[in-house]
Amino acid sequence: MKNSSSVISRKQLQGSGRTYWRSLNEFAGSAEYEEMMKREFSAVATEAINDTTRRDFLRVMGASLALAGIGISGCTWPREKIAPFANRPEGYSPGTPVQFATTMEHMGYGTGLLATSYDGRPIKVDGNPRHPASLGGAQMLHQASVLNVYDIDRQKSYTDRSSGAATERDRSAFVNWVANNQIFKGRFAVLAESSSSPTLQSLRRSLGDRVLWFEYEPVSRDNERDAMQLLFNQACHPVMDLTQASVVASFDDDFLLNHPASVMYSKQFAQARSLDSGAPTRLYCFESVMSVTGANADHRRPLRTAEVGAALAALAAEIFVSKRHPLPPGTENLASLFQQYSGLSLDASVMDAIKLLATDLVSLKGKAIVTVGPRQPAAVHILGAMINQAMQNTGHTVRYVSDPVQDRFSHSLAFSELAAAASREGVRNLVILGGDPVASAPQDAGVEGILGGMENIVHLTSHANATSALAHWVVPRAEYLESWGDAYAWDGTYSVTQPLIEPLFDGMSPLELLALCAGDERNAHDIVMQNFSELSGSTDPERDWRRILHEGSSAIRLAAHSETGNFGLGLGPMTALASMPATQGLELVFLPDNCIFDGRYANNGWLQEAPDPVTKLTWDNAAVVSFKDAGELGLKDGDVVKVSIGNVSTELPVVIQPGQAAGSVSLSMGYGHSKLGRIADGVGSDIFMLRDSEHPDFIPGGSLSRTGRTMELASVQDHHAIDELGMKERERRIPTLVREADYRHYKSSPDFAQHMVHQPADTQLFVTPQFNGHRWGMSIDLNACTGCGACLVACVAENNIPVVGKQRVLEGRELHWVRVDRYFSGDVANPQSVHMPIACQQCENAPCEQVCPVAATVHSDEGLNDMVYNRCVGTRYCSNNCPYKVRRFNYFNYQKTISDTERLVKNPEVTVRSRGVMEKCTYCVQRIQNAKIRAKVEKRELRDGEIRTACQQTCPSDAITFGDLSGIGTMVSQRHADPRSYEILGELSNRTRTRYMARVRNFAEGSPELAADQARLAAGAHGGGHGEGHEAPHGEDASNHEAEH
Amino acid sequence: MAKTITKPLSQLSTELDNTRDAISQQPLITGGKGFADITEIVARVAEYPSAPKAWYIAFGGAIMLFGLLFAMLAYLISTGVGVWGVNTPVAWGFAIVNFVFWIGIGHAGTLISAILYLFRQKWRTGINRFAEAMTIFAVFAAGIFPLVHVGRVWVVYWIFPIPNQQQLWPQFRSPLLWDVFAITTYLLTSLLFWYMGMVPDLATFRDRAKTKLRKIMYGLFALGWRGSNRQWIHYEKAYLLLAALATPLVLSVHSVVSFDFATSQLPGWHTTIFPPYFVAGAIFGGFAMVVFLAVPARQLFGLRNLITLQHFEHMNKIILGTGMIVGYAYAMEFFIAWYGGNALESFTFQNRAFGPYAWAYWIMVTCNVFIPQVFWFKKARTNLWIMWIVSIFVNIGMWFERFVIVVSSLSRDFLPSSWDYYVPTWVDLCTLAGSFGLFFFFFLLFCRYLPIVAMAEVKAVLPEAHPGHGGHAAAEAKA
Repeated sequence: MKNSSSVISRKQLQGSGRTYWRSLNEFAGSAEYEEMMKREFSAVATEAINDTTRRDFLRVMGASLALAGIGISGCTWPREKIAPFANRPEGYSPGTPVQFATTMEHMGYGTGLLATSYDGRPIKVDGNPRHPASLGGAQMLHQASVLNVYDIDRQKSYTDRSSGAATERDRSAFVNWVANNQIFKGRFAVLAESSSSPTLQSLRRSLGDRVLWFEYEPVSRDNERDAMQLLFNQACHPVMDLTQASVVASFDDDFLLNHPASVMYSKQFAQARSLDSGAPTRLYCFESVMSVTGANADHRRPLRTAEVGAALAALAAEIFVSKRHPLPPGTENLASLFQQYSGLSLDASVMDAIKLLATDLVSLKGKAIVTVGPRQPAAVHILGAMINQAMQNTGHTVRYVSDPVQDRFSHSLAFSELAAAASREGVRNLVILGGDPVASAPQDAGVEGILGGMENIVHLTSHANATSALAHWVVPRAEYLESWGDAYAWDGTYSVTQPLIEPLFDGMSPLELLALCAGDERNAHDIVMQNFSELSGSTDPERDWRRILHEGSSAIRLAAHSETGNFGLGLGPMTALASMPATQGLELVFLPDNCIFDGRYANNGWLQEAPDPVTKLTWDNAAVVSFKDAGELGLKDGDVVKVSIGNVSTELPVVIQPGQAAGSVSLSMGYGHSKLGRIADGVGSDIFMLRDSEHPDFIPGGSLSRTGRTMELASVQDHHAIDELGMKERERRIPTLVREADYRHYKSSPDFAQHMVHQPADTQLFVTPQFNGHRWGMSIDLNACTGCGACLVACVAENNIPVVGKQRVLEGRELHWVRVDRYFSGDVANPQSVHMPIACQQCENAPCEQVCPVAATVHSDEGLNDMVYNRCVGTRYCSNNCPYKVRRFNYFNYQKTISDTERLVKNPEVTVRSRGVMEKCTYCVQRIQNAKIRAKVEKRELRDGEIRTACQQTCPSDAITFGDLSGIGTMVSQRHADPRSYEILGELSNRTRTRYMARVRNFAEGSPELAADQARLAAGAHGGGHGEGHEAPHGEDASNHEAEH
Repeated sequence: MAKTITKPLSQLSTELDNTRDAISQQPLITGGKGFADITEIVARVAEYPSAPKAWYIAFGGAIMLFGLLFAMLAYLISTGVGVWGVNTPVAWGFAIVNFVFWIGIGHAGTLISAILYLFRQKWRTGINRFAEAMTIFAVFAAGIFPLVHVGRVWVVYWIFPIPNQQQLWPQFRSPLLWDVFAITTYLLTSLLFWYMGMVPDLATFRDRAKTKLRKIMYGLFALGWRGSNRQWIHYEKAYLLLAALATPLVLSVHSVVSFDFATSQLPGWHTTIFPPYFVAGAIFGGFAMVVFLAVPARQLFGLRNLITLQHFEHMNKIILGTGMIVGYAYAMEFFIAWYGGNALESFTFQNRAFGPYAWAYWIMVTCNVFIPQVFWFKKARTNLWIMWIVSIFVNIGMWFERFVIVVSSLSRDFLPSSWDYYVPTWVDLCTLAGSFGLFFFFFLLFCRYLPIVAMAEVKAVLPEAHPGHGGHAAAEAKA
């Protein structure tokens, strides 16, 4: 057997009764592989992994490295008795990272990913370029998901409370309990999280009537589902094609971040905004809290979440009444309703935008999209779908795809139906597949009561939480990187989740647990594979299975839904939109957090420390209020307020957010844990408790009252309240940093960005050394960047950037190598926002290099500004002299507190920095070197695009391009030559290798935004920033050079 | 005065009356003290069995603060630079502020001992030993900070050009490296100058020593001084040479320190006015420190006749003059920021005066520009209490000047996204206090055990030292 050596090592390890890491290195050799798989699954060891096990593993792996001639320690020979690979397993090269295609589910839909495994441990997750719903991109939470595997606060054992007191047992005890107990032979209920897994559904079907199926997640798109169910008589969801759209109108829909297809939509949006194919797609956005989508809109109008429906109704009135657009057949009964809609009294600026949008929609038939967000009631979704139908968008820019799970209750009904089932049918056994419904359910759902009535509750969970406390068995959940599974993507693509590592804490996936309950003896791999064969109907399932594991996606799709909906049925629900919602008190809007989602990632340090893309807040959640409300209530940033609704209340610090709708307070969910884990505990406040079944998404009649206390907010930007003087200066500088113009202006002067600031002649006292090799450079397209922050987390994962904690962020010591600067301009009530990712600019004339007394930061002949960690003494002078402030200093030893398990996520190709050392973006030099070595081995030139930096690879909107500037026609040199390309602070003559491409907006004709932009550019042409530059004597520049040389 | 002017120039130097103040024509040493008196006055400070009570109190305080410094440095080195308030835009905080402050303090000592020596300002003799000691200890206090402020203290020797097997060499374009040379040169030269000047006085102490320990210790450091004519000739030559060596240092050291800022790109640092402005500021602050130390020392150790009000008046005039240079520099920075038309720079200066650190800026301006103006009045120049309080304010002002330069410029640099506010931690504050402990610890030991006034030099400005022509003047004065 080819894998004999690995089996030897296995045996040795099993001899000590411990688990070990599985290397899924070779899927090709099927017979051997199958055999190996069987062995591995049958010999599931039971004890949870601990540090000794890890050492054993590393010892074996280390020995293999030594055999391979690489050597690991360099200092001493290992003295331990080792079990070497007598023969290296075929296809396995120790120390070489291997990638596997897998799938992560988010909001019940899959995103195809490529996970990188290094000697058997997953260290990095990226988008799978061959998966149509990710196209190589990945969001923050995909990037951070790899850290979840190494979370030491995970549920590690099988907690048995079936006989009273809790005892920690192992997997076999639980398996025996299930086998010996008759409960799963009878009827039982399953409360699952959203999942599109067809295998899970097939298991459910195999259970037949024995199982009652409920789904609940605090954040769902079931309002949309309910609407589509009504219209199409079948659960389905709209899939947009933004690339075909010239106008997109989002009604409270954050499709660029908080959407199961956000990666796909970001890719499409970037393409739609690209200037290659004419004017960028115009985006309108009507929402209360500024979302990532809203931040990218040309025309954004803040309005209360409750009023978004009215805005859409006003749009319908504008189209069908004012513009007398004919109603589509079958909807004639809606005419009088639309007449009523014209009476809606919305804010004048909102109405202006609605009129512009209506004009656009009517003139661009079949080239527009109206999309409605998940917080909006079903009526708004119906109306949105109806407008898409009437404007002939359906079928062109919007299509419908069947939901993967048809026969289930809506999330909002999960608990009432579960309670009904319990009382009606006497169901006394419940399996909870993940989540924390006790904490996250609406406060009036009575979940504790329902669970209290159960005789047996099995809770599968990643962390012990409030629900676990009520469960009779708490089963550790295996992460997706540890288990077999499958999922459908939002666009309907089927893909498989394949594990990279044996479950660290011997956990189970939902699939395995359900199989166990169903008495299915097959292992998870076989179940998924057999289900796949059935789905594909393939003649050669073996080959197809290998192919899908390799490719990560398949031709299997969810059914498209092409029938026209029966919009006439919408009359009933849509009548509610005919009157303006009552305004009583403040509206509280409950949002999934932009970083930790609904709290399931609350114990993930990378996500907690990732700044919110809009508020730039790390760690805590806050009550986000508008300037107007803050003024009226006398609130300042950081004031702790009591947020009350009815007789429940919670306390939160205030963040005053430009662009927040007056009368609306937004609160992000998922915080306020006390016993979840070291990262999550004590961070933020619980919001779930404010929700009730009637209003799970937003609720009117809330109030804020000051507690008199204040709290420091760990924001990575605007660390401190800014004074008038600073505000004015910031306002002045923003247009010179983030350069933008309307499309019309761009057409007339495409190189507008290069004339916004006067750039003095770049004269140097000395001849710059010339090298003939590679000249690495980067281009960041601000027109594509949405500001989502995926690059930041990707960089953290790739470059072993430690989590420093809230206190350190407060002190201004965050270590992120790339940050996304976010600026607002214009009116605070409704500003324009811009995003600018900033990492080391890799200046050719680097100011940091000239001031380092020990030459710890030096230039490579390829133009990289290299940081020599072990030469750095830590004077921090380089940071002071860096105009971009991209250098990060290790003020403490952040590696000291990391557990051995967490260390496993480290990328072995990047040095882990210790205390007292400066660090910064390296352009992912390890990737550059790897690609160069690969090319050298293969005796070829490097290909353009072969090297991709971590930020570039993950960027969901492909805003980042990296490559060789010396190569002719490389993407990056083309982009640098683009008229939109400019250097930030170019007037300092630092000659940055990273350049930005100016942002181009596409304002509607006649909009106030267009007028303001034209006025700004007109002022800029004669005075303003441009004029100041001209007046500046060139001496300033000359003295710069004198000083530097 | 009129008498000397009528003499031909060739005779001027030999005929110049060294015993009187050049302006007021008052004797430099008052009270009609002779050679023996001076020896007695100075030596008894070190020979009394016990020092004044105030010395013990002060020394106790200094030891405690010095101990605090050790504790803070131990905490810093064991934990990391993060114990300070420094953050990402403001990567230099109290450490560099303190460094520049202490280096500046030292300058008055060198100016008094070297430049005033070359310019034959004989009034310097009363205070030069004192001021030189202050220089040495200020450089001690200053020198600690650049060493401990780095992230990895254990490899800080890499900034010195020490040949090594790794063939690593410092980077000579960095102003921090220039600092290394400037400071070490300064410390060595000052130490040598101070010690060499002290040799004749140490010999006097040795000769008067009663205990064996004192005999051995002073004897060791007196280097076998016998006071022979040949020794005096060598001594004077060496003194002149060292004074000539030290003179450029007065200008160069603080200029080099200012390069740390001036050669960078940062608005508020990147300005050509820094070298002269820093030197003037250093002399300003240094003289204030001399006054601050000399006033109590004079009272405590009975040096009224050696350090007279005339000395103080001269120093106060220098404080007034250099204070105005500093004030001019402040104004000129603003003018250039406006006149230069660089929007970034002009914002930096507006931000200094009206931004979040305006409080520090106005403390600086008040202490350095407004308060010293009282020295226009002779009464203030000659009132010990007033000058002592003013000297405290000037020292506070000069510390804040460095704080304003370092912190306010960094806190709001180019990209508004990185702006932040620096707040010192308790460790920062204790380290600053501790550096005063170090300074006073050494200074008080010096006061107690070493000749705090250069006896030999003071004797040279007595009329008795000039029997040829000064003699009758002395007689007149006595009469």
